[in-house]
Amino acid sequence: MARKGPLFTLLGGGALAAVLLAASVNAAAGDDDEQQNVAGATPPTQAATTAPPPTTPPAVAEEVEPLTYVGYIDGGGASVAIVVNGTEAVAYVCNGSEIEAWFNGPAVNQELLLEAENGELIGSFDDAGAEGETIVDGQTWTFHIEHVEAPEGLYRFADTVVGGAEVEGGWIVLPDGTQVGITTVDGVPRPAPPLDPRTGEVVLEGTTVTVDRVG
Amino acid sequence: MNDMDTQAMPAANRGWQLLLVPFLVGALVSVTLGVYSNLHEGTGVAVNVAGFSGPVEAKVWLTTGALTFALLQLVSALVMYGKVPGVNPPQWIGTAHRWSGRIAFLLAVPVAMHCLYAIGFSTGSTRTLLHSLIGCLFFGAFVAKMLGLRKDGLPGWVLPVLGGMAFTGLVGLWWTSSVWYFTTFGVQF
Repeated sequence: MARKGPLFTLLGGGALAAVLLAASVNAAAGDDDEQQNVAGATPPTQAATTAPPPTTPPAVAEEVEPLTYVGYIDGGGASVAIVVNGTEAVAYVCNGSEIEAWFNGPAVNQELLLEAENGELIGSFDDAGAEGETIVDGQTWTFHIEHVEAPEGLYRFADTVVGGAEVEGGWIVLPDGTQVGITTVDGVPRPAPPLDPRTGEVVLEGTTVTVDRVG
Repeated sequence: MNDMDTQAMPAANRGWQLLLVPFLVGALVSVTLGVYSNLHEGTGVAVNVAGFSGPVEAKVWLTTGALTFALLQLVSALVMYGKVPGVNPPQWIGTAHRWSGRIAFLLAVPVAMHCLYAIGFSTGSTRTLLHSLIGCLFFGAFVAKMLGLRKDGLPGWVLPVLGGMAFTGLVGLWWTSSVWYFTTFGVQF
């Protein structure tokens, strides 16, 4: 009797895992179906006319547009940008002078659990906005920020510019047109020069470079 | 006479032979979990436990629950082996040990499924890397312990060592998840 106990324990755990896996696959499939229904609004007419054979695997997930959220920390004084791309997210918190942090981590079940070298960010997001809490260099902030579209959003640059200086920069372009950013040149942080959000161009160390929007 | 031979001769060897299958199966479990969590793209969606503000909070508390029962495991094992001075192992201690272990394991399974299915193996930071590695090792060690329990004639140190590995693993998992969460964001449900 005692002999079978351990086996039952393992089988019980295995059965529980199997049930949860099946339920999770269902949950994920339900998500896919919804996306496909949205995308599948047009095909019927196509199918009725000539329609190439539907050999393309319908289950392959379509590229989901990254979601960008930006805004001020509650009470002001710093800004947050979060870009959710599928199940991964990156975030940037910056006060425009010397405090900044780059985060990354999973975005699961509309929850964020991100880590930076000098901080953490945890929160939730939906179509309209994101909210949560972040700690940077031991300082805690809360935030409630909005979903935005380009050119608002997060911009990042990291490269060696003409003259040999190592430059890293982050810019948050806010809905009111304000930009909050820091560039670190050879390890020294300073307020970032303004960026042209239409072209992504900015002058760094006397050279015009193009900065990419994250997402 | 025959009995004496088989018992006396290769005692050490026999222990290893008995351990071969539990260790192989345990290793297979660890490797499978690691490979699956690396290959399977995190879906971001998985079933979860109701009653918490989110899946992260649910996992943090389920893991804390598992750790609580694991502590009972440690205590009951010490009593069972007569290592607690002045305490005579009561008759029910074996049952208490078995059931606290089962409960701890069953609490850990949904957490692991969420990690595996919704997130996947993460090398993003030292914490998540450690957590991913220990998670794979923990379930392998647990399987080895369970299978080891079914063998007669194992050297006396085997079960305590396997149990100790599973316990240490769970503490490591709890530390790199729940403790990190509680100390970073405070105690939340």
